[in-house]
Amino acid sequence: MVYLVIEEIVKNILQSLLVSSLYALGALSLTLSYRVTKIANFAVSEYVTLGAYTAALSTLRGIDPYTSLIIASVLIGLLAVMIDEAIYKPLYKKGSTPLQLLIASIATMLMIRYLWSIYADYRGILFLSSGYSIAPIIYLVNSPLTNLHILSLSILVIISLALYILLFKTRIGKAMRALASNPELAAISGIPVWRIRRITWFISGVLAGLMGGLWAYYTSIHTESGWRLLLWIFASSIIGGIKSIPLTIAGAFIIGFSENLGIWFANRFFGVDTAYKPIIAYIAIFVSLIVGRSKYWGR
Amino acid sequence: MLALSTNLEYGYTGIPNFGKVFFFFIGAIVSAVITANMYNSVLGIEEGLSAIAATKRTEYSIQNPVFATEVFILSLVLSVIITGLFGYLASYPALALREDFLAITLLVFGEAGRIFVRTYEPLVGGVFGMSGIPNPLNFIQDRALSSFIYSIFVLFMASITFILVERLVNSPFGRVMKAVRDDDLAAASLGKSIAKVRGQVLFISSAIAGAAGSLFTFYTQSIFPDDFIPPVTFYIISMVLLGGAGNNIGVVLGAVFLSLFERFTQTSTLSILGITLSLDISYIRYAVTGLVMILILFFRPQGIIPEGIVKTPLYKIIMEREKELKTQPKTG
Repeated sequence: MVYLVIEEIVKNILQSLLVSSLYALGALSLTLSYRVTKIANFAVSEYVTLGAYTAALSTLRGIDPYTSLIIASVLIGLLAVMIDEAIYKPLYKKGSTPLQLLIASIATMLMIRYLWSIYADYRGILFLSSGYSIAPIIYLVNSPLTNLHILSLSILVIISLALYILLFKTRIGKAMRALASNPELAAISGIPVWRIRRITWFISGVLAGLMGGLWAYYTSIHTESGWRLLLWIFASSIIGGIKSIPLTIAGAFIIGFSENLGIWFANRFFGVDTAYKPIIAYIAIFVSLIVGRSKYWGR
Repeated sequence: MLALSTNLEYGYTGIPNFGKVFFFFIGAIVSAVITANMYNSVLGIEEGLSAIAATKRTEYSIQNPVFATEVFILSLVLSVIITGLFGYLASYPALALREDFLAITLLVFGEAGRIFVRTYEPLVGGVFGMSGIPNPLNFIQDRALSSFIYSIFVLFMASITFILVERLVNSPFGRVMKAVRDDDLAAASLGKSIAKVRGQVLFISSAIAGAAGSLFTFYTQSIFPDDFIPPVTFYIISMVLLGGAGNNIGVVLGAVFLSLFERFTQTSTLSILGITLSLDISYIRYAVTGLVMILILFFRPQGIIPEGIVKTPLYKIIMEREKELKTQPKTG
């Protein structure tokens, strides 16, 4: 009996690890773009969706999964920059408020999602499975630790290190941090504000694209995939205080674990229906915003 | 009605209620629950969520129009009050959060509520929803006629809403609302309680949304949680932005315009006109909603009709006097 419970726990832990690392990538994308540009980018859900589709389509063409991921992330990075140049930057220059930019990001999200849906419908790829095969590496208490686990966790580690080095050991990173804390002063100090902004969006897009690509390997995708994930991405970011890399990743893991392990626990011992899963994320966001940092407060 | 309600909160008072669809939903839920329960107790139905129960309820309403009407009115009134109360509760987070985070919070709150109702079966049938919420006009055999009459009634309610909102907004209270939106610190320093104003505004606007929800549920004679998703809120917000936040006529225009657009881009309507498209038209509708929002933000953030001055009765009197003075011949 106890063995069965342990087996379930391990299964949930493995599941949580995988999902958390993906959420972390998405949350880092969101946090990064928010910190530097003050835009709550709802459109990140579509970056993830498109990243997923790109990677999936690419693997189906026979390109190996690793290259596909690179293709997907670079393309989405470029997309993110384009969206900023076309929509966010002009509005920002006009003096739009954060709320107006948020509305713009929602509008962008809608446009991208439904324009893509039209195309996907036309091409018959509303639902898609990638060519990636999940292969178990070793079995822990009957649950497989798969190549996807290794892949996503290692990508997360590499990305985190890369981001850390970028932000704290390079001049570009320093400029990004300057822009995040005080845009006016950064501009006066001679920092090429628009170039740094472009770089930021590119990285943000790459992160979202990676999340999407890995997600496509994890499960079959559809045009609403990103939208479903948006909640978790936002929750992860917000719990992490939209602050630093480690906190964001921690937030993602908290969300990932509470979503899987937490719900399993509630279900097993308290009979809570698993369909309540999203409520966990919502409660987490709610609590974090209300009880949390004063950064969200004030005008 | 929903657009006017949003305009009241956001256009005049600066509260971005991105959870608007949830208040719409609450109104629908209250009406559905009350109606179903009343019919169920009269008919002695135990399994209220089944299709048989739904049919029984509808049949009963056809035979008993007076009862149906009583239930309808009771549901409507209760929907208004209860949704208003929920709205008042929502004003608490509004106290301190910055506007874009407030938007996210209310969005989250609304969606959480919807998922909860969707999962918790006993309330309104969970994912499957509930049918058989009989319209009081069911006794009229001609479907087209009863729908038409009901539409007139809804139009009537909308007009009342418009008049009420206009009166509210063109009054000293309207000025306070705008003050809270534009410079709450100044308003507070002049002795206006921001929390109270927000609470009152959200109560009223949510009450309106509740009424809309009630009317909607009697129109469709059913309630399905998946009808009340966030894109609906975005749709309403785009109406407000299009028409012009801060003025009611514009908002009504925005609502009419977008509704017409939605109607005319339904596959059924297009096929009447002889146009058939190979792709799913609802995608275009949402894509256009997004496009419209972007275009508005870019080119005309004030909307089609920009905001005007608060026309309080005193203001009108002063304007009249000025006109009189101007038309008087100069003496001496």
